Amino acid sequence: MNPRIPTFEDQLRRVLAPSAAPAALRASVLAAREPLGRRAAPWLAAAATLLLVGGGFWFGQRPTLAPGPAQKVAGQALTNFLSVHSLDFTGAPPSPEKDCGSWCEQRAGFRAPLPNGTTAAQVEGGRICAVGGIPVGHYLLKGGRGLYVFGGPLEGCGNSIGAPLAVAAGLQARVWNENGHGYVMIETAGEHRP
Amino acid sequence: MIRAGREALVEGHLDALHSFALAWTRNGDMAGDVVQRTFLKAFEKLHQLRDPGAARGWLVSILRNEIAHEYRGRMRLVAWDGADFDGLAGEAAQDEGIDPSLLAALPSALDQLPDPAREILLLRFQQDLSYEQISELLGLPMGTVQSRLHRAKAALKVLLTGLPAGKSTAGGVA
Repeated sequence: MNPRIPTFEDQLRRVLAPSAAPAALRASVLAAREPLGRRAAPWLAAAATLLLVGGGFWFGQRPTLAPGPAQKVAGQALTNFLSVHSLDFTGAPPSPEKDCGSWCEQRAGFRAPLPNGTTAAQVEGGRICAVGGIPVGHYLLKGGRGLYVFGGPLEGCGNSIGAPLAVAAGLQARVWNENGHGYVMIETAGEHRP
Repeated sequence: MIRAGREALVEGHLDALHSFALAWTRNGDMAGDVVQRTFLKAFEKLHQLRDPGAARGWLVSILRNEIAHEYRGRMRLVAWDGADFDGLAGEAAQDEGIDPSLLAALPSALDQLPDPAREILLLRFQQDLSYEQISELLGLPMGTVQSRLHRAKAALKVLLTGLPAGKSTAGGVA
């Protein structure tokens, strides 16, 4: 008795069968599943997400969200910036408070506040995207600069804007943490404006 | 209830959507980016999903838009009539398997196909969409879907075996 010979379609189904998505992507998608304001226990959910990702976590210290070192995040943000094709809004962010962060919360469940020294008047547009599989708020600032804002602090970053960690296509990326959020500033190489 | 629906959406479809995105972008970061945006948009529009059984097609349609935006100007999702492979279509009716050792080259063979051919193969055999779902997703008549799939399989088979589809290639199939 001949064993059943798989058809070409059977073979295609087997070879093309989906493989598992990265755990970090799964965690970040699940973490963004609901605006924070509607969660019954947001910190519990956040902690569970961090444990899923495998990040370090202990009481008394705020956990980090980035999947890797700051340099990696800088490179990923630069890559993202070079492929921007559209914005979710143009002009000032569609939220009236001082740091303009809540528009992102309405859509993706985390705040994307502007850092100290940056005002809504400098914002020309924005969108929600993902850097390294983590959702971020991305502002386009006057002068062609890009500002990426994470929902939590970044691993291995200082608390003030430092030296560029990545350079590509005439642009550089600086990374820092401030007020519990990670920031990546994309600007022309050699330039730095507060 | 909504939260459960969202979790089910992620658990049921994330792997498939990520595989689809990876097949297009060949870049893990970009694939993660478009998939993340896809789910963010899906969560916003979840109330529009009436039939849970249609979730895969619905999500893929959002993902296609995200990929098309990401690759604007480089992706040709609809402009293919299969004419390049007309000569092979008749032979492809015979769905004989090929030597399994040749399947290792399938990813690179897929990359050599025109985008619409590659896409329809992924929709059918990776995303497991029905002809009806593909027809609705691509906005094509059912007959066009069937003939496009037919030609895409034929073209892929030729690329994998170096022989016209339907010629004997399955000698090594166990």
